Amino acid sequence: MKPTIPLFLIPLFPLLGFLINGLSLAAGRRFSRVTVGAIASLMPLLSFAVSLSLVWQLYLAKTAKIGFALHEVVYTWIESGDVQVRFAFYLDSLSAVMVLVVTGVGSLIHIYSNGYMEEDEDVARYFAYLNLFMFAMLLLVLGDNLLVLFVGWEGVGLASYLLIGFWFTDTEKAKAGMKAFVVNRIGDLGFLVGIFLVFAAFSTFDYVGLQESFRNAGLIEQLKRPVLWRLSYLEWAGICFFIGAMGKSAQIPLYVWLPDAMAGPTPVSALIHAATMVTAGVYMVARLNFLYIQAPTALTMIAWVGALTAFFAATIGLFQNDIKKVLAYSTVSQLGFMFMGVGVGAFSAGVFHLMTHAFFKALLFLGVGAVIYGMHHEQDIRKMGGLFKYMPVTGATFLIGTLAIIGFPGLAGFFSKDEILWMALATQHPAIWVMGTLAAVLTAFYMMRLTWLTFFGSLRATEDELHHMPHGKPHKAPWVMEMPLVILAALSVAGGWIGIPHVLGGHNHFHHWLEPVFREAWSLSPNSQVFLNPSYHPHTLLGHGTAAEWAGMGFALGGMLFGVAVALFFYSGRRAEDTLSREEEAQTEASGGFFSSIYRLLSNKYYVDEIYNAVVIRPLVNLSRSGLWPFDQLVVDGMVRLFGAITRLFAQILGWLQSGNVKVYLYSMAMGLVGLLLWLRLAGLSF
Amino acid sequence: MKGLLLTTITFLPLLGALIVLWMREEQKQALRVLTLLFLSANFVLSLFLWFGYIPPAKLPSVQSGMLFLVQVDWIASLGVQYYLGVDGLSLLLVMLTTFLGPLTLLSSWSSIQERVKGFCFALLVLQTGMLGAFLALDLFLFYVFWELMLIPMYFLIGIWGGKRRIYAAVKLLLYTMFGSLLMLVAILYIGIQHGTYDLLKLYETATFTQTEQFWLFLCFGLAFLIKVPLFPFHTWLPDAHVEAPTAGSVILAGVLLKMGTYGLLRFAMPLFPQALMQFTQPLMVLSVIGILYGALVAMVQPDIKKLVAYSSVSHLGFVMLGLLSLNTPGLQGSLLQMVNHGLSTGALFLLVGMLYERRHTRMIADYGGIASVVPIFTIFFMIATLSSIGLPGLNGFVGEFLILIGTFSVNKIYAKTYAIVAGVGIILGAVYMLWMFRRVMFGPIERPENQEIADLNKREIGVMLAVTVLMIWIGVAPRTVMQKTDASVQAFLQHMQRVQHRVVAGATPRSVVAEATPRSKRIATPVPAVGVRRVLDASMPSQKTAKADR
Repeated sequence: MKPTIPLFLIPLFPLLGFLINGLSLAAGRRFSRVTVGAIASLMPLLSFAVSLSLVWQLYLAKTAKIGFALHEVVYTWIESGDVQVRFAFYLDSLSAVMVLVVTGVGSLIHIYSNGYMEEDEDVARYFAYLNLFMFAMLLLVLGDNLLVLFVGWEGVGLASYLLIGFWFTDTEKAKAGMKAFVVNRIGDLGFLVGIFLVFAAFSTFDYVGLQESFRNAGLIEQLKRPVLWRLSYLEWAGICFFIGAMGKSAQIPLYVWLPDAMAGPTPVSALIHAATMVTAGVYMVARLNFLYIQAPTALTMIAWVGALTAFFAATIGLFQNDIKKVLAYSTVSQLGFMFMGVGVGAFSAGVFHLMTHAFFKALLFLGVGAVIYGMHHEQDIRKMGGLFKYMPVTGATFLIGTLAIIGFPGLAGFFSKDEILWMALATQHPAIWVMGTLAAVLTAFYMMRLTWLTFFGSLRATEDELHHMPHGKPHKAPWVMEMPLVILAALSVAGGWIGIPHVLGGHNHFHHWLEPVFREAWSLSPNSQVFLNPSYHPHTLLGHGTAAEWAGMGFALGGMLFGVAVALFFYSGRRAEDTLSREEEAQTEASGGFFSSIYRLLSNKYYVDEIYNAVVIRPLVNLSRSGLWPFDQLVVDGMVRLFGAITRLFAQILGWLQSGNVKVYLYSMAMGLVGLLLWLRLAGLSF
Repeated sequence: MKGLLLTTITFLPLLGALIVLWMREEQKQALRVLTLLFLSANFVLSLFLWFGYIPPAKLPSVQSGMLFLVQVDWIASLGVQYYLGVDGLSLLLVMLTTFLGPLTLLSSWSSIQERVKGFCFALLVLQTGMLGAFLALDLFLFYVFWELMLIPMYFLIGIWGGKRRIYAAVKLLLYTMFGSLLMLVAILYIGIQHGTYDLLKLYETATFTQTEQFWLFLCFGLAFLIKVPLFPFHTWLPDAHVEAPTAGSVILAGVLLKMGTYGLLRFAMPLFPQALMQFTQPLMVLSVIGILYGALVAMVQPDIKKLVAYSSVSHLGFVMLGLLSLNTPGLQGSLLQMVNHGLSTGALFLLVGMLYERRHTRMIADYGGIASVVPIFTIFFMIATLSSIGLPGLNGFVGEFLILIGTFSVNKIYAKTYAIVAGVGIILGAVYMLWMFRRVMFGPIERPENQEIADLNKREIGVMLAVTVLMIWIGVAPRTVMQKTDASVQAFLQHMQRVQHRVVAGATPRSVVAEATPRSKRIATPVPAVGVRRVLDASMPSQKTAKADR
């Protein structure tokens, strides 16, 4: 179906913003701070408006049953033999969700940035990068084929690199940017190989064409035969794509860049490293649902990686003291939840959590930004406390965000997380359900710890530290920063209501909105009766589905309350000081008990960075520096020089013969003649 | 009239060189302006070639893709002709050469103050040599141009180079000469055997026994592989690059290296397809080794220029891989990547030269944090870096992607493995380039003298802008460039398939074009009848080409 307004306008606006601010900066023609911010914030808003209108068109078309997607070809990008890549856009219910989240949350964060970055010298560069990110992200979600997706995929990586290292005069921040780029590149290679595999089998890159090929049962049957290590061709393709997702969406073992990415400005963390970019992997898996449903092992692997990541990242988050690091690990963990969802085949549940997470995690990050802003660049929660009274709007909205992420009943996170856990159970993945539930308990603990230590109790900053703040105390954020917080808080509350499950009397509109995208895949799934059931819950499980669903929900609720209770027990009131000093001891004390060593293991993030450094990075650099480079100079070039030296040696010998001494010449001539005659004689010639 | 165009393009720089000879050394500015005029005029002329080159969409043979032909007897008794022509394989490289020409001079505008006359003379003669080599369709004539371009390069490095310039110049000369002489022997052998040096005629008629093919391929191949340079024949390159003046480095990386890959494509591969079969595997292995090895060695270089030099070894490995894949995406990717490498590595050398002119050091450790001092330089450097590491949206990605997908599409398990291993080179590319970039540009400024570095001036901005615009253009609209090569690449592949059986008795005819070989049983890309098209078939009528050219 043709879109009424050109689809390409959606990514075009941010691109224009990037070009206007970027080129004016390069030309040395500086706009005023306000102009720069206004241009940059207007562009995503325009994209949001266009998206809304197009999604409305899609909605009408869907209700009238005249079409399920808008499609638009801009031009042919690459054409070489059978390799044909069109630069084309595709808006169906899945990309509609993504596009609204990206432009909606993105617009809010752009507006917020006007306040957060008000004192920065380089605000034009900041906004140019932010717009560039929006452009790439919109390509990623709107592309109609794997290659355009990949362009966006690498493009968001570039924007992320530029923004993490935005304050590049700090070497650590520049390093963090590079780490993000390189780790993502590792994943991207997997993604590329996935593209190659798909192309080699189907000779096309676009989703519609691929989906068409997947209807060819004979072909799929052949591709499902084991080829290597008992995995089929399709399994391998699925695994390769997922390696890409591991990088972009920070899953074990490639999650290590995300915590470091917190070096960027906080709104960047909110937009890129929480709400949008990092969810690209989830989107991609959901997008390739037709492939993954034919690759059950790959799908199970995704679920497991997701579950493990959800759990382990949550354990690392337990005792982090940098306010942004807690949220970073929390993001890794929540992404794990999303992969659990799509991994058990419940694509819509994963995407649902993607959306609600975008709301509440953006809210939490922006709240943290307001705290950092108000605390004059302090990020250590041990120096905070009682901030609620200094910044009530931030405090209240942050609390809402916390309740949403821990799954407090009625808030957005409750519905989406519950749906994922429920789906894990309903599709017979009890172990994954256990991991997820445990992770949820941990989430409740660390989020409550964070909230309490930051906003409640008493302020722990020293006089000296307070002295550095403008009025000697923390201050509230301006309205441009608080307004987005309020909107996001509202979304964190109400955003889940479009997905209220039938068991609670809702209709799960979200599930049904996405159903056309996934219906075909679900019909091939062994759990099709779960996904395609009109009320989207299984009657088969344990014979009485509803009761089981209630039980699961009760379990999650109990776990959540337990986590909250433990956190409050240790970190509220007078006990907080005590707990913090004991944490301090555990960190320093060498011997310690069992709990201190656990604490150290967790607060040092299982030493994963150190292990990577020792196992991969250092050996590689050493190999090159003291192995290959000397080898190149001594052996490879040595051979060349040896060749030269031998030539010169011969030259010297021959040169020595050319002594210019006539006597020697005569002697050698005579000797030669005699020798020749003798040889002829011996050879039997007579003369 | 049409024949005159190629002759003019080839010899206009030489005419300029002759005029330069008549001028006095003191007229520095006049010398520069005159040289710039000649080089720019040549670029404008070559634009006529670019827009005028419209081959029929479907070519019956490689020969019919050759346009603007000019054919005159030169040394009639030996069968040597003056024979020029351009096709899709050479057109891009000709354009690259004429495009980089004026830029190299502009980049040396202020850095070369000594012996300006000789410098201008060398640059102009070099242009003629390179253009002639790309356009020559007579083996003997090709050899003359091939050697002609070596001499000015020798002087460029030897006179205007760095501290160890003499060593580097002699090494370059002897190393490449070593290969060239063997090639000369092979050329003479062919000429005497067949009574002609006419390449197009040889394409049609030349037949060699398996043994002949083996040795001839080896002789030609060695000359070209040294030039590429393929691991392990690369060690002249870092030396030459480090010592060469900026203009020398840009031309060396931008054009001279392509002479090697172009030579393979134009001579060694189509003339000796059977030998190519034998050598494909080892050459692919060397290419992949070169990709990883070049990248790893580049990673630990303390000298920016040397780092970029080693990165060339890595990049050219990709080009080689694409050539050896022998299918449309692979070949077109390679052709495009030759241009891309010329642009991105050329840009990097230009930028390093600009830095060197200001701070007189190329050591990474001497910099740090200069991004805040030279913002405009930073922008160009960033874009060139990103282009070099193959970021989508810039030129490098399209070439690398096509090469890898071309290699991956060869229905051999080893080719697929090589494509994946080569892909690791893309990761390493990001590592060494971004690491260098970070150490040079980011962090705090620790040396006071870095505080004073001046940003780019208008001339330098102009030079960089020209290259950068082209990098973005190719990244966004590669079709506009690639479609010029469509027909010739198809014809080339058809030729390769046709000649695979043309072997003198004693040889087992084996398939040359990889697609034609049966699928390996081990990998499971099954070929069902429906739904699956092959990546390319040389035998397949190229409807797409026709469409593209409409």
